[in-house]
Amino acid sequence: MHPVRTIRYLRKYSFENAKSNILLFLSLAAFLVLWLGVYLNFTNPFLFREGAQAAYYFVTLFLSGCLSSGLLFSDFGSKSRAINFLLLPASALEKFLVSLFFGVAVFFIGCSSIFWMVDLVVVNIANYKYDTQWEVINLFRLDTYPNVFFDGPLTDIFFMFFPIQALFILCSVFFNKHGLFKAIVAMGLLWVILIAVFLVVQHLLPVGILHDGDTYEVIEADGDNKLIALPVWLTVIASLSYKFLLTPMLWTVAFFKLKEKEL
Amino acid sequence: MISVRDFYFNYGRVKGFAGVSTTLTPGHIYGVLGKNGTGKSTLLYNIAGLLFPSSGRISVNGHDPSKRQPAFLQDIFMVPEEFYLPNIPVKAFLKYYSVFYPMFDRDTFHQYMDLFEVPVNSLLQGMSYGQKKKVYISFGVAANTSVLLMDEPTNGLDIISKGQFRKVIASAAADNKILMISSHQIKDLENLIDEVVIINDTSIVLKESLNQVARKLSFKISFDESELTDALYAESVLRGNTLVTRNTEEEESKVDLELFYKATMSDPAKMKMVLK
Repeated sequence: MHPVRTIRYLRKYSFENAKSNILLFLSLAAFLVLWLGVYLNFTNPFLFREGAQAAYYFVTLFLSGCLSSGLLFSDFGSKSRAINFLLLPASALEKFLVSLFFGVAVFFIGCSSIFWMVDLVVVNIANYKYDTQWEVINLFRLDTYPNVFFDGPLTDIFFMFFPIQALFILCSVFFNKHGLFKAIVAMGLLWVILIAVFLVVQHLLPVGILHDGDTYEVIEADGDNKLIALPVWLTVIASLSYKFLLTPMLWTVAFFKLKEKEL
Repeated sequence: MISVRDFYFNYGRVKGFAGVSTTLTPGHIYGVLGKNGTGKSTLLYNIAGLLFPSSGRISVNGHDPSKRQPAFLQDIFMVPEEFYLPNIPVKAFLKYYSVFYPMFDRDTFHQYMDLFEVPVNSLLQGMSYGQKKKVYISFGVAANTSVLLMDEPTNGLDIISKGQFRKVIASAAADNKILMISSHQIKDLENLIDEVVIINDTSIVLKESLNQVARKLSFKISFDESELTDALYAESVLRGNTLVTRNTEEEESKVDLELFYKATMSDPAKMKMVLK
């Protein structure tokens, strides 16, 4: 990797994609204004409570993040654009890292900033209209708000978002055409497989209840229930791998696919 | 130098190239001729590293094109038939793209743009296909790479522009450069190339210098029917025939590239033998 060339590529990329990135963020803002604007017309003031705002944030992040990531390498859908991309004198790593920087980091910052700005305006209007005292959520302290999706800290949703986004990026590299739609289909298939595996495992296990993902309580007819606990080290490794290794692993696969990409 | 060794390429299950070997040396302008769909573009894409051989090896100045290393990419430029230019001003294109080519010559670029009569201050999005192609060709030649590949470069150019194109290419030729121009419009390559590579089906049927062709063959119009018997190839024209014959009188005639191509395609083995 050559730092000067990477910076040159970064400048070229940002200049060429400035319009589309601005349009992406403007459409994101318009989407939020439309969505939350409709909610402002309802009579339910609880639609703007802090927990709900956090939910809107994550829904926005998932929808727009997956959509934009699925189009990150859409150049491969056109032969002429693919030639332009592949023959530009920069390494595959430089091209991939720059795309990742804009598609993941810049997108995340931009999306969060736009959400915060729209949320700030909408929540203040809601407080004025409903005479409520809801606070505008602080995106740096998301764990202080209730999680409406599942038991656990809100920030755990990021550990779902980034792997899913990485999967969309991988699909946009992998498939020359309709990468976004194929990624959605792939996600659907993955989800079906996971449910099937879960059901099979549940069927094989004796009747019982799962506690915290690492302890299984077998319910006995005589009331003498038994606990089966997985070793702590195993659950820690599994959890850390899922949280911190899955996304880089998917990025790595996408990079190697990009490296060997043909017309 | 471009070295192709035992090159095989398949389009899925369909055979493309089968066991092709050839060497292209600097200081020449190669014209790659062949019918539509015979693999001219495929050969160029493989040399550029856009497609990978099914087996065999291609080497460009010691680089493996399939690795697409920056050192390789900054020394090769391809003008594809379908090309992409971003919707930005020409000056911005120059600013953001030329930095990737260490030998890029801005003066030469402006010189070619003048020759093509394309204003440098214009926007790429407002240009016609032909104008964009002129910008692309100017940029590619000004990049001063040691390998310049052009796939059907004259498509979309009007008659005047084709003349300008020839001037640009003629000025770009140098002892340290390999220029490869593929075209099915053979007339466009006349007086431009000095080596011809003819592709048919799965192989290169002939690779020869035009000097050798001129030495060994004679191209003429004949009104004498008896000359037809000695002709390697003949085509009837108004009141007579255009002939390709063996050059027995040691007089070099101007090579009629189209006629030569047709003569080769009618019997490649015989033509190879005659040119030996």
